[in-house]
Amino acid sequence: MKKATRARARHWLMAGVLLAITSGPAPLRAQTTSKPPRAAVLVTFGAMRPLESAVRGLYRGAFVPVTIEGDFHLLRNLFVFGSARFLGRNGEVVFNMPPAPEERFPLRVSLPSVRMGGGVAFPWQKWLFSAGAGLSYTRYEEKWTTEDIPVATGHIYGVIAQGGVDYRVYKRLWAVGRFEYSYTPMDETRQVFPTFDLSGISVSGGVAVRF
Amino acid sequence: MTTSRPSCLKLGAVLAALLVILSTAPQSSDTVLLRFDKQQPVVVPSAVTGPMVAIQELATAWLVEAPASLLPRLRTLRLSFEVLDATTEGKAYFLVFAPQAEQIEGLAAFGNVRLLEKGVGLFWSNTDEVREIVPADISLKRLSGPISARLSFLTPGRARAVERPLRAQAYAPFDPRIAEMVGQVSSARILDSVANLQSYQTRYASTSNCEASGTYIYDFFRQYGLQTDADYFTFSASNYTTSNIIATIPGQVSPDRVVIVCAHYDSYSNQAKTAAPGADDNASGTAAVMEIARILAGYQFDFTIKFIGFSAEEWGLYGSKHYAQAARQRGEDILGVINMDMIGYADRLPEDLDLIVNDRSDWLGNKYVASATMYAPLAILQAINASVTGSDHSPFWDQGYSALLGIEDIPLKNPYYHKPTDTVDTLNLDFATAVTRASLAAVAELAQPSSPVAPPTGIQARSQTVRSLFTSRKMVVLTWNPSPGNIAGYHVYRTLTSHTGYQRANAALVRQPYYVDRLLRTDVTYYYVVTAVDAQGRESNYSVEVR
Repeated sequence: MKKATRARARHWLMAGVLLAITSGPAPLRAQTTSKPPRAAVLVTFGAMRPLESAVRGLYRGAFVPVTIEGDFHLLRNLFVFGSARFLGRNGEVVFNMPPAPEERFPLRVSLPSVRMGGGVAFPWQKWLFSAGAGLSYTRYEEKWTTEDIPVATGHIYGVIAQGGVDYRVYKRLWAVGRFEYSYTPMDETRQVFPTFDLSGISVSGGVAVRF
Repeated sequence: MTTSRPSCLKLGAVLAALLVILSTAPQSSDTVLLRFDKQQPVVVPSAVTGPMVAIQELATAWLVEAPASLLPRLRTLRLSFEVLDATTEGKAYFLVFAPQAEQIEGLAAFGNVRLLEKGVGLFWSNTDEVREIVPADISLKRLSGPISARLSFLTPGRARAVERPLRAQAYAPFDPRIAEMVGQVSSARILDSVANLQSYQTRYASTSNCEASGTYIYDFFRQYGLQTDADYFTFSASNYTTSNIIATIPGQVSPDRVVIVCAHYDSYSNQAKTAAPGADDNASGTAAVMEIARILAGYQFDFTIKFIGFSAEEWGLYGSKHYAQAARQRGEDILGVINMDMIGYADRLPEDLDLIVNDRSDWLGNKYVASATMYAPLAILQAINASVTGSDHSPFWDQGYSALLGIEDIPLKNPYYHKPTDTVDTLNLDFATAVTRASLAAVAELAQPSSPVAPPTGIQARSQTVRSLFTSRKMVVLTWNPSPGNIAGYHVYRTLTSHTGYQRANAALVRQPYYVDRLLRTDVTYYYVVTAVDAQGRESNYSVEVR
């Protein structure tokens, strides 16, 4: 067998094993006591910490993302998701150069985004553990609210990775917890700070209805 | 261990070959002379540009000295260059100027010549001085050492001519005192000065007649009470001594800031030692400087004015090079240099004045045109052309100063150029007078006639960039020393083009000695001046400009 053919076969084999792990029956799922649901609608609130210090300097405190998400399970443990996240915050730019008096310029940034991806979920008793990854499209808009400066708008593509822990509270109602890392690099031609990007880590909680 | 005889022979042969290669390869300490085309941006590592030394900027090219060892590296970069001379050791290079390429190529009979651009060549021979072997109809500039201009491979070439409209923008309010000064320019006095300079028969630097004409100019300046110096220097392989004649009106507010109006007083012809009247080249420019000095001597200005007659220009710009290099070394703050060279011959009527600037000096040309338009209307053709380096403005360009050349025609049209027939009867005095008036207006506007209200001094500009995620703006804080007297406040003026087109930035009178210009674009350079306003509402002249 040629080298390339052997490598291709190895890839297919690994993919098969992964599929078996995520959707296969016992013994891998020996401790599973309930079936994962077919679909879910989630609403979460949380806190996001931007990784870039420049972002944190301008917009102090945590951002509060609000996310609406829909999940659909394709196979027993494999699901795809789509979500919309709303993120906005007030900040300020400070100018200080004596003898001129200090000036503060209020800012408002909005970072709504749409995300799509897939992941794996493992139910265990009343718990559901999940991990996933996907792509994001973020539309940004930043205003100097008191100054006559053109509003900066544009969009950025990024990548997200998330982990979740859900707990069934009552029948179809679940309490959900999410941890997310979003990688949102800026277009180099637009960035102001040399290493600036909008990446961040967020923790959020909310409720889900699973069907 | 032992070595067999054949192995020894092989080793010896290899070593011998290496020795031959090393002895014939260019020594790494050799310096080559290169011509780089100005071109579209190319990223060149600083390790490459570091050892390179620019010795001349032209409109479309740089002349650069570089170690020979750099050549292989340069060839790997996307640079358009040629080696003009493989070793510069002990050689004297001259730029040569002539309207026809054949004139420049004809120099091959006397030495080595390379045509660099239209009308400009590079010449060198086995002698250190070439004035006396190069034909009289070719003018010279000796290249010597690094120039202070930034060696940039990012500068696209530019040689363009722009005819400025006569109704140019007024950059400063009309000043009746300048109009009064302009009104005093006398054709008769200009004629008198040209005739007196011509009467020396020759002013060829190295002759006693040249020194005598320098003494005449010196005495003229002294006669009008100007502080005058003769700045002696030696030039050429023969170590001739001559002097620049420098008269000064000290500035009243910022004496460190200097405006120079100059012309070379030496002359040349194909019979230079006996008959070089040089009425147009350059008794005309010298007479204009003398006339301007005579008039301005009766006034006071914010900035210092220097009137300079340069010598040994015809040998390769030695006098102006001597002054400009020394000025740079002592940190002289030269605002602008107005050099007049051949302003008396009119090949057609009405004649227009060709005003030659480089990119850095474009503002000075604009200012000259604006001043002329306001006080002494004159047809002017302003050209940005860094290759016109055959007169005394060029050494100032080399030292990074703003300078312009006022000349009747580029290329030259005077049929008596560098001939014994360049005499006063061939001149158009009306044209020379008009140029003198325009130059006086420009000098006076640059130096600013003293006003009853003193402008602020000690202006400083600092900036801070304020940034949001997607937008950045610049905050400029200007501070200054309060003006003396009963001052009600200050006005701050801003412009995007240095020294011209100031627009008031403040809405209300500024009461404190500082001002914040808010939220400006970060990619734009802003220039500021400040004025003081007294209790009667009288406004001072502009302060020194800061950026």
